[in-house]
Amino acid sequence: MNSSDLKKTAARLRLDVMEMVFDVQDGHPGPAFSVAEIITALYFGGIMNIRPHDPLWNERDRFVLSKGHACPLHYAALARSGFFPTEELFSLRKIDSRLQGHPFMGKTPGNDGTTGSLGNGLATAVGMAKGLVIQKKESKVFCIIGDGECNEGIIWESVMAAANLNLSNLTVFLDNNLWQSGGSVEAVSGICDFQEKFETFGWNTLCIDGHSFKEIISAVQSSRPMKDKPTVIICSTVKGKGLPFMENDNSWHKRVPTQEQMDIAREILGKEAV
Amino acid sequence: MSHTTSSRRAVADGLMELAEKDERICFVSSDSVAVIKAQDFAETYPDRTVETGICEQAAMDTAAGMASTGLKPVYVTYAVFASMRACEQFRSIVCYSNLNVVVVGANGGMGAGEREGVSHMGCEDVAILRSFPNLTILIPSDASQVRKALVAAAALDGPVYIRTGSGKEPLFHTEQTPFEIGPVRQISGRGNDIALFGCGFIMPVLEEAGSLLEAKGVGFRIIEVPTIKPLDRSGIERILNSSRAAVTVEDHTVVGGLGSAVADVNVQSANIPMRMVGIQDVFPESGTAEELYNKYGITPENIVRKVLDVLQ
Repeated sequence: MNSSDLKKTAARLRLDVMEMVFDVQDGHPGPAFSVAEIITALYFGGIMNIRPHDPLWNERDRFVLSKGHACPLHYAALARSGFFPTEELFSLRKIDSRLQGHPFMGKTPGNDGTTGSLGNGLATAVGMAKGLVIQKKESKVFCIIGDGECNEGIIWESVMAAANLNLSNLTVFLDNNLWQSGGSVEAVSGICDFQEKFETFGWNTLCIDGHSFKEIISAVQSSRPMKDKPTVIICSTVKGKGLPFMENDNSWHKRVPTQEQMDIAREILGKEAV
Repeated sequence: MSHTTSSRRAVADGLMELAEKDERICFVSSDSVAVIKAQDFAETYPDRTVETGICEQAAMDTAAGMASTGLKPVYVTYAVFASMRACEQFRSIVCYSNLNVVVVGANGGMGAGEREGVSHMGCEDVAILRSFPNLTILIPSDASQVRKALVAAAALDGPVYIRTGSGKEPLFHTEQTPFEIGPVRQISGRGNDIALFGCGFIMPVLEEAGSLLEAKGVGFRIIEVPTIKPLDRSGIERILNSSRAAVTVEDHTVVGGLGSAVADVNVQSANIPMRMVGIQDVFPESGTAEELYNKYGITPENIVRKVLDVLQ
């Protein structure tokens, strides 16, 4: 896909998220919107080597959404990639659904990691990356973590382990939207200077605009020649990006749109998606 | 394979035995190489030894991630850390995803923790882990059984927890005795007055209690429960239905362990009088295994007392 098509796809996925959350009257639209371009680039920008008709293909690249609460956008990407019918998106968070409230690899085709409990996705991705190295596979592992998620101790355990295990097949996107559930990351936890922290642990680090397809794709390409080091791409993002009434309003961390807000979302995102 | 006499060394021996036959077998260590004396494995299979450093939570998830790529990781740490420090990772990632991860918990029980003290004693591991769906829990009773349990666990689909000890435990079975996942087994005894259920490295204590009961003319059967989950409910039910009373013995808290598991079967079947020998909802302390068993009542004499009490 070219950049224009990728933009349309990201708008489509955002609109899918709004429709899903509105339908089930539950979910996390804000944190999903900040990673829309990253996930769109992974699935539609030629980054990930996957086969939607064969979700468990052994040679596939893996993706773990460690900030699992953003999963409606990942579900939308999986459906629009062909892993399962788009109609199934409306089963989100409902009984007997393959689309659990937080990601469960045991049910959702194309979902490689069980997450939702923050921090565990990165540690699991470390194991996947090492497992692929042991089996001498060329597959890569991509993982998205949140900046708020970096409050978790297991994130830093994993950062230490990944560097020491020389996992050059692991690429982590850090969604640096500056917000976490209870407020700004700075106010709640004080954690900052991610680049310095990852570099100190021995990671290859890049800082980009997390809403620029050009920068996302170029960062992934430039990280590929790195030997013996995992890569973190620190993505400057906006929570709720894509709908003016949501952007940087942290009440949208977990919130259901009104009918009026849905009308606006359909108007804005619907136009962008075509 | 020579007869393994240390339950910890048994894990390393089992790993070597498995790795020779199956290249998917890997060892995940959170600085656990020395714990099970796995230096030989680490040197023989450096590419299949994954060291995370002392971070049990990340190690548990790392094992999960490896399993998801088709490997069969064996993660070794202390029982207390496997079941508590990495409890949520064990539940929400390994067990929920039903991944082929074998977790070995050393220092299971106060006898295994002995001088280390409460921080290093896995006294509640079984109680916690019994509540996790998909998990198989094995409690072998000597070093040879530990090695065989590990080999059996690796052949199973789904997560397995193996409780092991300090490495100082006595041999209980012969080298020829198989380890079979699932059924309870009668070790010794004659008569139906009392069913003595036990598991793990304290099985010899039950045997000693059996000798004392025999001298008193009390009919008994000693039943080993090597698989605590899934529990052999029908096997236990059969024994309960043919006994006047039952006593359970475990080096574990009586809250949620073997005693609770047998009681759960009992209340839904035979409903015979029962007593539980084990750690009575207290934190133990440092000491030798023998001193601890004496102080906290895991002795042949205390078992006999409980038997006579429950038969009255």
